[in-house]
Amino acid sequence: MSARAHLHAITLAWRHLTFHGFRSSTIILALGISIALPLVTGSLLERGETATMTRSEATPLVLGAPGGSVDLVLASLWFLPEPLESFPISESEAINDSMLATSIPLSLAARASDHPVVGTDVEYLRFRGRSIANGRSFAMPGECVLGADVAASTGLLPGDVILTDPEGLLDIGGGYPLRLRITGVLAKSESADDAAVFCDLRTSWIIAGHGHVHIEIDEETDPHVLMGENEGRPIASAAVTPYTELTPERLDSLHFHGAPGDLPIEAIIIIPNDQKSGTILSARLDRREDMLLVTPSSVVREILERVFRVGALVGGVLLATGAATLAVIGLVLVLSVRLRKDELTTLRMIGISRGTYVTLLLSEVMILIVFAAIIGVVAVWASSFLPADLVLRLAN
Amino acid sequence: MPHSEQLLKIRDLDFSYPGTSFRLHLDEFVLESGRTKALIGRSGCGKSTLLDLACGIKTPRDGTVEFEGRDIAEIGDEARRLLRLESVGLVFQEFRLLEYLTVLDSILLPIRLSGRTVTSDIRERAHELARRAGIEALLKRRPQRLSQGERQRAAICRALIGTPRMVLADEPTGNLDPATAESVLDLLFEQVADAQAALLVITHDHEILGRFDEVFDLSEKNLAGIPPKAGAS
Repeated sequence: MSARAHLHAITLAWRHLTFHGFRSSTIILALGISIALPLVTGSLLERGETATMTRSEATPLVLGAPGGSVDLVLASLWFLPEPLESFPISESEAINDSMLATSIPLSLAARASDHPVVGTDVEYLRFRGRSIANGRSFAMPGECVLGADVAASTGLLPGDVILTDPEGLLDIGGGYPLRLRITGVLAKSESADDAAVFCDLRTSWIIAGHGHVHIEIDEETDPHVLMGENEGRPIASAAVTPYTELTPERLDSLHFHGAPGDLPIEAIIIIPNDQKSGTILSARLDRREDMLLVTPSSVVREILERVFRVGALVGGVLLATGAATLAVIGLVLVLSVRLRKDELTTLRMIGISRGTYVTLLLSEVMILIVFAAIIGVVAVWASSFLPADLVLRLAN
Repeated sequence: MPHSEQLLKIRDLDFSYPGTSFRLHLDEFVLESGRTKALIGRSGCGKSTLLDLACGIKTPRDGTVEFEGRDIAEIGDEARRLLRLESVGLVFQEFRLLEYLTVLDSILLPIRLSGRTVTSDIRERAHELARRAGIEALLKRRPQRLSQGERQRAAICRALIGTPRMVLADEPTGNLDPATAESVLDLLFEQVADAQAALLVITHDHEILGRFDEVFDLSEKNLAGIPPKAGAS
């Protein structure tokens, strides 16, 4: 029997599948999901492991207030909204003064457009090797730079502004949201930094209400804000001021309440000068009961072990689901052959050869598998656009 | 064609279905090129079985079925399938068109299954057959959108596309109204005459027997007789 007969059998198979489009699509989809799920899960776990280990190994030590070490690592490395106790900024200054390490303070409490606002200093961007793709870094209070994903999702550019989120509807004592001026956008780094907004520590403290500027109000500048006058002093309406903005003119009046060393931060990244300095500093800080020192890579390894235990379980479930799906698809195909008994008898009576007959049935199965595999490959490709640390976020 | 006179020759045929009382026993049955023969007989006498034996769908337990001088029981299953594809045209009572193929693709099916190229000549022949069958305008339709008569016409075109030397039809007008049945028979006879093929038609309609060169009553010729309750017809 010639190759052309087999080619015609494949064409017949294709015609049959397209004629029963709904049934074929359903089988392809079910089979595709069975193929895609384990592949996507495996790919995400692998990428997640690589991404999380890389970031944690690049962060030698993290200092925080006593609490959960996992929470501290997730909040300081991936800016996940973990509830962290704050501690004074003076801890960071003390580490710098020890000359054993460089400390990078992090204020992690604020959010803007539902993205984490990380108050730090420009040293953080240098430490992480982040470059500015567009614009410049933040330089003064009220300025910020956006992670690449934040810029992409909000469509904001340098020169635009982004408003911080109010802490809560019932937070009547809190400050107004702050309008942050965007000075730059970070280059894409496939890390948690892509999804964060970075600003000066002082900006974070203003957002948290630890510092403020005074706004001059008179009829000439903004007549709508002026409610009246009391013994020559203007009375401003709070209701008509939906936010605060730090302009260069207003910065002169910026001041913080309390001693500068007492202003709060939530974490410090510590970069020891060398191994010996790290050992000395660790020994000193480990002794303290009012602080928690963690090595992120150890904590992350622990988290990943947990994730992979769950991953193995999920893998087992997926395998069982896949096997069940394949069994159902097998049954559907067997039933399909039975339903097509008349048609196959016709082909046999007309004189189809055994080889062509086998080609006809096998090519139908192969076409279904090929399309299902394409769904699998596309799903894996599409999953590569998901954040590499998605597994960590989901596990959290 | 060395045995052009006797295209199909069956001798001392003995066939039975395992587990049933049915048995077909024929001394001789001959079908000559260019001749038409009606196969009649009571239900269960083995008419359809004889058609299956004549084209190698079934093989006898005993005796010989020769097609163009070759015993088709001896040539093997693959060769019998190829023989059906290339030399025999089959027309069924229930049409047996594939629901997912258009009329044109249905007509061309035997050509494609035999691995031959669908040349422009063959395509032209398909159009010509369809035109003579009055279904040329329906070539892009699928069977669901055809009347019974149109389906049988399409099935006849499919049986004739390979210019078979023998056409076997099992009650081709059984499901058709008298007017449609008449026109379908006209088509069949006309095409077979054009191709100088042999035609063997099973029928229960004694009104049409006059159109055939010969009539073969299997009820009389089956030496095994007819079981009281036959399992096959």
